[in-house]
Amino acid sequence: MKLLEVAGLNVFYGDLQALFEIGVSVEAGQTVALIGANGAGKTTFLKSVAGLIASKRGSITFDGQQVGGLPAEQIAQLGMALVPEGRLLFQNMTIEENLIMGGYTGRTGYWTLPKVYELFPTIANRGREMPFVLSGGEQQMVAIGRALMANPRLLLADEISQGLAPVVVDQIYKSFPAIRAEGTSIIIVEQEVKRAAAASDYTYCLLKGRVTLEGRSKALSFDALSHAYFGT
Amino acid sequence: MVWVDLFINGICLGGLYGVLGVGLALVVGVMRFVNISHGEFIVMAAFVGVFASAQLVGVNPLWLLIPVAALFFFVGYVVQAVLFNCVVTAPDLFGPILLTFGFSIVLQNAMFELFGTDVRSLTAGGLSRLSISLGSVSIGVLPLITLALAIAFFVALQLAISRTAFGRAIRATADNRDVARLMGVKPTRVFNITMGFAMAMAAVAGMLLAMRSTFTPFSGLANLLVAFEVIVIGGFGSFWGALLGGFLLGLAQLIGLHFDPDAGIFYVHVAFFAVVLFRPQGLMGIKLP
Repeated sequence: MKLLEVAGLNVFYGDLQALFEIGVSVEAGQTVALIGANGAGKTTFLKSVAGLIASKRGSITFDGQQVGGLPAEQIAQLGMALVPEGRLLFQNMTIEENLIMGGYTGRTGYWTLPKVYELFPTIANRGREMPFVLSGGEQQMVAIGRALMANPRLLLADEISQGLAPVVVDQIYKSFPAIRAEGTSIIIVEQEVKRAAAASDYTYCLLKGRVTLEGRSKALSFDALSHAYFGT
Repeated sequence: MVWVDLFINGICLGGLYGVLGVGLALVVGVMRFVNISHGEFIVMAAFVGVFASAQLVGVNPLWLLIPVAALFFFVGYVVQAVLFNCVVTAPDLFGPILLTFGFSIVLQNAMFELFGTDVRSLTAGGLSRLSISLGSVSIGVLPLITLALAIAFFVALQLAISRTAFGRAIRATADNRDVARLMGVKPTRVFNITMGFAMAMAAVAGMLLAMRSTFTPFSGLANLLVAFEVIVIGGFGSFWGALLGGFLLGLAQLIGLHFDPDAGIFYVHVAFFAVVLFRPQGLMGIKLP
């Protein structure tokens, strides 16, 4: 069953068109990778799907329901959670308040405060601290935990390895199987092609606002990928 | 002894100024939006208080604080929902200023048309003459009640914002509107309720102010000015700073009046100027690098 089906999506920033006729679909339980260079439109795509960008045309179906015209707060209620690029934790709140804030929709399920701490033991016992004292990797864990607190059906993870040491990125990627095991599908946006391919079932490559390549992650050849990535 | 007297009365007046400012500070903090018509709402609440207490003879006006505050919560909610939300999300800085400035003129003239320019005040019955004697110092009961209410407001607001789910939603929205939306928070609803609280506090401050001094339809600007000075002195976004700022201004006013009875609120502005000169980040604000 398709959890997310995006068809013919065009997105605009004023007179500028950022995305052209994008078609992306995510099966329930799948992890889908979205790769592409800077400015390819990956973040714009995630923001449009999550409802943060209103000026768009095309069809976005989530869980059998048209959500293209809904605002972000209503889409969140339906079970879509976005881990924003640059983490964007609430700086005036403690770690624990950040996590609790993630559960504001009141959606119940597997993910609770103790379960998030279990997934990321590094941030357990640090609930009373403020975000700025944490390392980048720990902040990313809080950002992912905050999204999980909404018990989402679909998790959108934007550039979660940005600016982090490879060891830390490994640690974060290791949490994905546990997240999927609880029935959450994932879209990861990455600049690092190999890591994205290894962590996902299906890959889309974006270039200048268009899908230039798609296919099962295992089946994509390196040549085809680099061709689609750089447009050479 | 006169100093103790001045100090206590200054603190009591200052508490009131703190409430005047904190409503405005809340709105600025959450919406990054300055409501220039804040002062007119304070005056409107005073008018409502005057007419309600004229209808309800024998009822102590202090009891009217509760229904009038509830009424102004509703008024604030509706004004925000119908009018202010149109400009809060606009990227243009002038939208909010023009709208609320225009609205303040409309309100001012509407009050002038309805009530004329008579100088009015709200009589607190026998309460305004009651006082407690401590040795040779006498403290008015009404100023004491005012101070107690001000402190109660600050504590309640602080608890609501730091401990409740809605308080977290308010802080999240203030920090980053879009990220808060991703958690399911509807910003316009947060704004409506925040404006409701701000107006309820403005109403309480307006009525208490009318009990201790006089007002006309044109008193709004003076109130807005004091409210601004309170939050600038306190340091933007600091609740307890607003209370401290209120105390300082209240003390400055009464000590100034003691030595210079014709000064009005001149020394309030002098105190404000001194703080801005020597501590531009405010009493409890964080110093910017």
